Amino acid sequence: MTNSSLIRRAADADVCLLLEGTFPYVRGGVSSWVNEMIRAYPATRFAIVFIGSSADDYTGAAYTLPDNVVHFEAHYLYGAVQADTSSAREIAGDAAAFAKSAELHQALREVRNGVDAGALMAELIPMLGAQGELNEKQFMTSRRAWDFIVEQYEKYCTDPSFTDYFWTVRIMHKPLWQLARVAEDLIPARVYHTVSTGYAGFLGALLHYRTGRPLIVSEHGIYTKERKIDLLQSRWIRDNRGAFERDISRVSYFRELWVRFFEAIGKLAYDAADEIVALYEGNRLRQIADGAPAARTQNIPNGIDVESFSVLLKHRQKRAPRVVALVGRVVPIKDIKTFIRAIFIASRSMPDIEGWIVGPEEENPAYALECRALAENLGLSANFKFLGFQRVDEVLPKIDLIALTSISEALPLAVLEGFASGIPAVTTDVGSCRQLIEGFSDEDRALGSAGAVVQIANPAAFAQALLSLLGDETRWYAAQRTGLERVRRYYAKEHMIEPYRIIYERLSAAPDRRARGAAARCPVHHGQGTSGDSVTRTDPSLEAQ
Amino acid sequence: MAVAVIAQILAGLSIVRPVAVLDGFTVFAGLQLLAAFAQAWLIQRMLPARYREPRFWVWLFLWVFCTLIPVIGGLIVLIACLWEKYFPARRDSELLASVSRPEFVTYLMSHVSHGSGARLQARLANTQVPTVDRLSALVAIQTMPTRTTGTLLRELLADPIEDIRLIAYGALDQAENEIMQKIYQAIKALELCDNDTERHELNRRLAELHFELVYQNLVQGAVYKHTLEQADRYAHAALAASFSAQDAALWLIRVRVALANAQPELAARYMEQAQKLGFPSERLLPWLAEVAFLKRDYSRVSELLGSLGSAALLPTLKPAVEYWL
Repeated sequence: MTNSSLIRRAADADVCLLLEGTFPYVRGGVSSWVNEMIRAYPATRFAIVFIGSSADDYTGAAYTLPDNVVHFEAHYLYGAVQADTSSAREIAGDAAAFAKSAELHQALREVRNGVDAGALMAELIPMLGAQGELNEKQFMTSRRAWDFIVEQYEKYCTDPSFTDYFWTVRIMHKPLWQLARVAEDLIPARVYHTVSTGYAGFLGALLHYRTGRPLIVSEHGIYTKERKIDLLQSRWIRDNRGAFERDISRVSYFRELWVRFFEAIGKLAYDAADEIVALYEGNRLRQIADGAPAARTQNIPNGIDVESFSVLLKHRQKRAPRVVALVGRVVPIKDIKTFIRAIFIASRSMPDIEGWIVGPEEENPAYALECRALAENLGLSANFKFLGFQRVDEVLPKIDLIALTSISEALPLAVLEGFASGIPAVTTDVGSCRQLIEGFSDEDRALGSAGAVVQIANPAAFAQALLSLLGDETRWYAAQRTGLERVRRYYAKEHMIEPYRIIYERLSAAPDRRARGAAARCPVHHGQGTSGDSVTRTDPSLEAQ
Repeated sequence: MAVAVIAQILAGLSIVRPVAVLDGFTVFAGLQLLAAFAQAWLIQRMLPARYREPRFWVWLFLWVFCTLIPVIGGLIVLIACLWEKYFPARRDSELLASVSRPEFVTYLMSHVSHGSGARLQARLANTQVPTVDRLSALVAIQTMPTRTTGTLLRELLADPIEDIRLIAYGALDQAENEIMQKIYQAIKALELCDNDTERHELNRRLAELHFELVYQNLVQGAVYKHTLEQADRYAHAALAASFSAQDAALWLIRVRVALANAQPELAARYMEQAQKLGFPSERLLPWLAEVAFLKRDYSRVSELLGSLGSAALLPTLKPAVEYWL
C-alpha cells in the first residue's frame, strides 16, 4: 500500500467488495460505479479487497476512500518474488486430496457442457489452506503433483514442449494459493460482492465456501470474454508445434489452456454466487452462455444522478453545434484513433468542427503519444484538442455531441451523463450502446433516437454520423429530447441503488449457508436461487418502472 | 559449524599431541573424516545454488576434498565458487548455446488434420459455422499477411459475434500499429537529422512506410487519400536531394502512388524516369499494363502482359495474365 489514506482496518464489515484492477487505483467506469455505490449506502460498512498484478502498476490512489469504507487491503498476484528461488525437497503428496483435485479438473474440463464444479470446489477449499492436504507446498514439490502434471500432459497436451507445459501450469495455478491465504486471513463480512469474475470472482467463491456467507457477482464487461480476446491475440504464448504437428485450424494448446483456465474460475464464481448481475440483457445472456445459472441472473443498469446533470443544461449556450468530445481514458479499448480519423474526415466537409478528448492519459502514455502523433500527422492541430482529465460539470456544457468509438463497452456512463446534460451521442455498436441510443423495450424505442450507432473501427461511417447530426439542427434537438427523456426514465441513479439495497439487505439477513438443515453438509446451491425469490429480470425498462 | 571447528581442532591437536595409547595417524584420520564430514555439510549450504546439485555427489566431493586437504580444502572450493558467481569469466563459448536436436513427436500426428487451412476463409465468412471454429480460424489467419487478409478482416468488423469483431479489429490494429510505430520513429529522427544522406534515407523510408499502409489495405476513404499524399510528399522530398535523383526505386514508389490515385499519365511519366535510371523494364511491365488499363487501352494491356516471360510470373499475377491473353 502506498497511500496512507488507504489505511483502514476493522474487525468485521457488512459488505466486502472484491475488486480486481479497478477502484481505488484506476480511473474508469467501473471505479466510478464502485465509488457511487459505496457513497449511496452511507450506513453500510464496506471492506475492500483490491487485487492487482504487481504493486508497481498501482502507485497512487485515484479516488479517496469514502468514510464508510472501514477496511482496505491490497494484494498483488505477480509480485517481485520469483518462483523456486529456494531449493525444495520432494514430498509424497496426499493421495486422496490429489484424487479429489483430479476429479475437479475433470469436471472443469467439462465446464463448457454445463457441469457444476461448485460442489467439488467446496470440498477442496479447506484443503488449500496452509496446513491443508493440497497446500501450496504440495502443489510445488509433491511427487503426486508432478505425476498428475505429467499424466495430464501425456493425455491432453498437443504441444510438444513439456517444459512449457509444466511452467504454464505452475504459473497459472500459483495465484490461487495466494488467494486462498487472503481468504483465510480476511475479516468476516455479512455479504461478499465481487465486481468481476476472474481472480476476484475466484476469491469470492473461496470466501463463500469458507464462511457460508452469500456472494454477489456484478459484471460490467464480461471478464472471461475480455481475457479470451486478449489471450487469442497475445504473442507471449508459445506454440512449439512443428510443420507436421500443426493443424493450423486449431488454436495452440497453451492459448486454449489459458482460456479454459479463466472460463473455469469464472464458472466457479457463478456457481458460488447467490446473485449474478449484468448491466444489460446482452451481457446477462453471455453470462448464461458462460455457465451462470439463469435463475440467479438479473439486469441492473447503471444509473446516474440525473438532476445534478440537468442543471448543466441551463449553462448551454445556443449556437450551431460543432464540438464533438470523446469523454474517457486515452486507452486502446476506446479506439481513440478511429475518433481522430473521423474528425479528420469530417473536417473536410465541416472545417470548423472540433474534436476533444476529455480524459486522463496516464494509464497508457505510449498510446496517448501515438494518438497525439496521429492527430499531428493528419494535420489536425486546428481541429483537435487533448484536454486531459476535466471536471465533467465544467466541460459538458461546451460539448455538442458525445462520441464513443470504443471497441468494447458495457453501459457507458459518459453517454448517460451526456444525455442528462442535453448532449446526443454517436457511438459504436458495442455493449448496450444501441439500447441507449435507440431504446430497448417498445415503449423505450417509441421515444426515438438519441443519436446514431455505427460499426466499430469505421472512421468514414463515424464521420458521416457526426456530420448528419451536427448539420441537421432539427434532428439534433430531437436527439437531445430523446436522450434527456430516456436517461430520466430508465437510467436514473435510484434505479440502480434500490435493487442493490434490496439485495444487500436480503442477503445480509440470510443465515449462514452451512447452518441451514440439509445444506449444512453441502454449501452449494441446488436448483433455484438461494432464497427462492430470485427473479430473472430481463428488461431494464421493467426494472425502472 | 561448531562440530566442524571442534573436530578440525581436535584433528590438528592429535598430530601435535598424539594420544599415547592409540596410533597417531588412525586418530588423526578418524577425526579428520569427522571434521570433513561436518565441513562438507556446512560448505554445501554456503555454495551458490547452481553448485549445490546434484546434492549427494557435491557433498561427497566436498567430503573427500576436505579430508585430503585439511582446513583449507573446503574454503578453496567455497571461495572458487563464490568468485565464479560474482566475477564470472567472459568466454566466447558462452555466446553460443547448445540446443537439443529437434525431435519429431509422433503422437501429435493423431491430432492433426491436414489441409484444413484451405477452408479457413470459408469457415470465417460463414456465420452458420460454430463460433469456436470460426474463432480458431480467425486466430490462424492472424499469421497471414494483412495484404491478403485485410479485406476479410474488415468485413468481420461487422460480424454478429462480438468476439470475432474484436479479434478482427485486434489483427488490423496490430498490423497498422507496427507500421505507425516505424513512421513515428522515422518522423522523430527526421526532425533531429542534420545531414542530407540521412535525410534522404528517412524521407525514402517514410514514403515506403506510408505506401505500406495503403498496400496492406489498412487505410480507407479520406485517410487513404491523405496517406497517399504523404507517401508522395516524402518520396518527392527524398528525390529533392541532388544525389538521389538517380534513385529509380523512389520513382517507382511515385508510380504506385499515382496509380493508386488513378492518375495514369503521371504514373507513365514517372515510369519513364525510372526506366531512364536503369530500372529493369521487365519488372515495370505489370505497372505499364495497369497504366494502359486505366487509359482503357485494352489491346495494349494484352500486348504488355503477353511480353511477360512465363517464368517471371508470380502466382498472384498468373490468373490476371491468363485472362488477358
